[in-house]
Amino acid sequence: MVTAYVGGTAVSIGWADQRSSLTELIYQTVTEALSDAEAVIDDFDAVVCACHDLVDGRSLSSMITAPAAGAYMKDEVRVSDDGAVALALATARVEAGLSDGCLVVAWGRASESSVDAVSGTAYDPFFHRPFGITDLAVSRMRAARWFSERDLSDDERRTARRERSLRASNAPNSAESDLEGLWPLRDEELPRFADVVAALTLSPRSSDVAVAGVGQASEPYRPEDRPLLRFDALTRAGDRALGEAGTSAHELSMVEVDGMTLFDEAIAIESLGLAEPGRGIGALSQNPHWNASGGSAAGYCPPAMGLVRCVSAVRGLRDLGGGYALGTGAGPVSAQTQTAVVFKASQ
Amino acid sequence: MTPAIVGVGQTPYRGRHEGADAATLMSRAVRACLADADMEMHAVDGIVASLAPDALVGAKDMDRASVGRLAMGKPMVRVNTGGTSGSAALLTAADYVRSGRWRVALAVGLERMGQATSAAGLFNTIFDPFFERDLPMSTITMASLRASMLMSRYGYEAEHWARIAVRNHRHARRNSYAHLHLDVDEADVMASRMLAWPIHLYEACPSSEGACAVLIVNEDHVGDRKAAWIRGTGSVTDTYWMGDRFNRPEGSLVDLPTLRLAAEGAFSAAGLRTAHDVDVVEIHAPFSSAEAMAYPALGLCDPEDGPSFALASTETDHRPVINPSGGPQAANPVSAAALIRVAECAQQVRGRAGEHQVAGARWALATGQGGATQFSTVIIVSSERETT
Repeated sequence: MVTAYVGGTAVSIGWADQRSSLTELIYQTVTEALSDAEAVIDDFDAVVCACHDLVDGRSLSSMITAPAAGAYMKDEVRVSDDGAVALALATARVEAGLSDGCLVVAWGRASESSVDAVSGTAYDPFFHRPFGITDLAVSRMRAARWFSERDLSDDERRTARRERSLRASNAPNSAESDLEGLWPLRDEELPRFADVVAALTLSPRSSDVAVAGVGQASEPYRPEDRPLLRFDALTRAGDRALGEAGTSAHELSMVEVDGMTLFDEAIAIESLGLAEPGRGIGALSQNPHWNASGGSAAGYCPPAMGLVRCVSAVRGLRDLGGGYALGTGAGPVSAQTQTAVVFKASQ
Repeated sequence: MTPAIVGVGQTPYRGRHEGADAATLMSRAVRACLADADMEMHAVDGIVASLAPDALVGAKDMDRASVGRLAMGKPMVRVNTGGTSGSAALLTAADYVRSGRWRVALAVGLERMGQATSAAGLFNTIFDPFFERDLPMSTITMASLRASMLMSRYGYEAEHWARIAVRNHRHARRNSYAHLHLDVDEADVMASRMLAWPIHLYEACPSSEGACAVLIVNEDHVGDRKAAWIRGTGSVTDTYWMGDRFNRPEGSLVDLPTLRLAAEGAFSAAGLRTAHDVDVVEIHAPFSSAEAMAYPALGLCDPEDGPSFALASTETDHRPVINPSGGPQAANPVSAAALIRVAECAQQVRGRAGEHQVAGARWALATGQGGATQFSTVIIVSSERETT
């Protein structure tokens, strides 16, 4: 099996920039990734995109967006799924010897519609939607369950919020959000919805970062059939990816977990075995290399976030100059599916 | 490593499947597929679902509920490339198998467009909101533009479209899964209602619901199973804007350069030269005229000879046999249609196509077309793992 190496990366996070259409944002971000890779578009024979019609606001939206991502006259496929799934598929293609260079691109523009309202249309129309169930509503339930079953001191919670905001303030572009007052979550624990585009180049040509392991798993469709305080799919996906990479969670130098809120991120940390149940929030704030990017507070719009987390993991690994990094991506219907990707510094 | 198709399952295709929810339809196809492969669900390593525009079914990510019921914790991926979603799902599943990450992969396509108040109205929303939707551009008018271009450039006439339709409907009468089993002649077709000139009703696809499942395995898992080896694949994407596809060196709007390039890649991998080297061709074309665009791209004829080839292809003894299943004109569940092309090809080379079996079929080619002929796929299967 051929090894897939990461070349260039790029992330664009902004809000309602009227100077740029969605296709322009995608084109600019892919151009930056190519520049970061010191490559040109002709170096790539394939593109894997992650985006969603209902987020883009147009049926079969990839008709207009895929060419902007570099797909013209290339082998291109679009997953209506999280960006980390696109990375997993691209990795498989390179490993199979089917691609000598693959662009992976994911996006979502939250400023154009209510992404959370869109998420609600994935839920059962008879038993869920009348109750206003959306991805954010389920996240709020998780937080409520946390408070009912676990201890969390005000100090620890305050520290976690402060640390998360501090890390998010380092984000390169501004993100705005009008979310507030969503009990039991405080504003700083919520995602900062934004216009997000992420791009990454992958190829069999050796570089300083290799994809060392990939894991994917799923859970039942109905949120009520899943435990609220665990992401079992992430546990399995993480185990698979780490096992393939020949490392363990505690040997990771850098971790970037995808979660809609602070509590989702903490549950993800626990589900990966990085913290004991109930200790995830404290662990997140205490470890500067876990969601160093600020996570969803630095800008959030599905289905781009898994690729954003992976790009952040790669960048963090490059800054550290060695070791292993993990990036995760959560799928729709309140993280029914999970993808985990382990990167290894190879030089 | 050559992946192989060892199981196929389909539901009958109907305008609406009353009394069956999406998960039930999908599970029927999957159970039939697993039974065909003599394999259990626990042996499957991952599932790739094909689901085209969410708006057709009125729910986001319908695959999450239906595939989720089958997945039992396995990896699930959803592909959406419009009409090519089904073939893209199969290619994605094959990619995972080729990489060694999965040994057994399930590709499933599910369509519930009978739930839409107006499929045509929904398909209008794939077009540009400022320059195209008000025309009004739809999949039918988009196809009619191409048909008129074929007629003016290459001399096709109304009779060609009608004869192609008659052949496809003749084939479909022997396919129990097909939505339509029309017994029509050329006069019937030309007398049918005009949808958008020059496309008549019987030259167009129906709006169909149903599900199709295909099981792909690596070589080690074939064993004694009847296999359709995936010998060549190709997938190419074009620009969106039709105006940019008229006068360019790559080929015009009706020359389908993406299909030609996809076919060239597939032929090369399979050790073939043109579609004349296969026994069966399943062309993903919802309209007679759309099928004609594929002939030159697949190397079946030169563009100028398209009209004569079209007529010849409708003869009962023509080889390769085109659309022995009846093709999309007899059943077009959008999300599954391109996967059905591959499934039908697989059944042909496995000798399991039933009443519409082409005698002695060893090689078969399936095309996929998506968007406004923007996305093209070609998949070649054979009963032979290697060419000796």
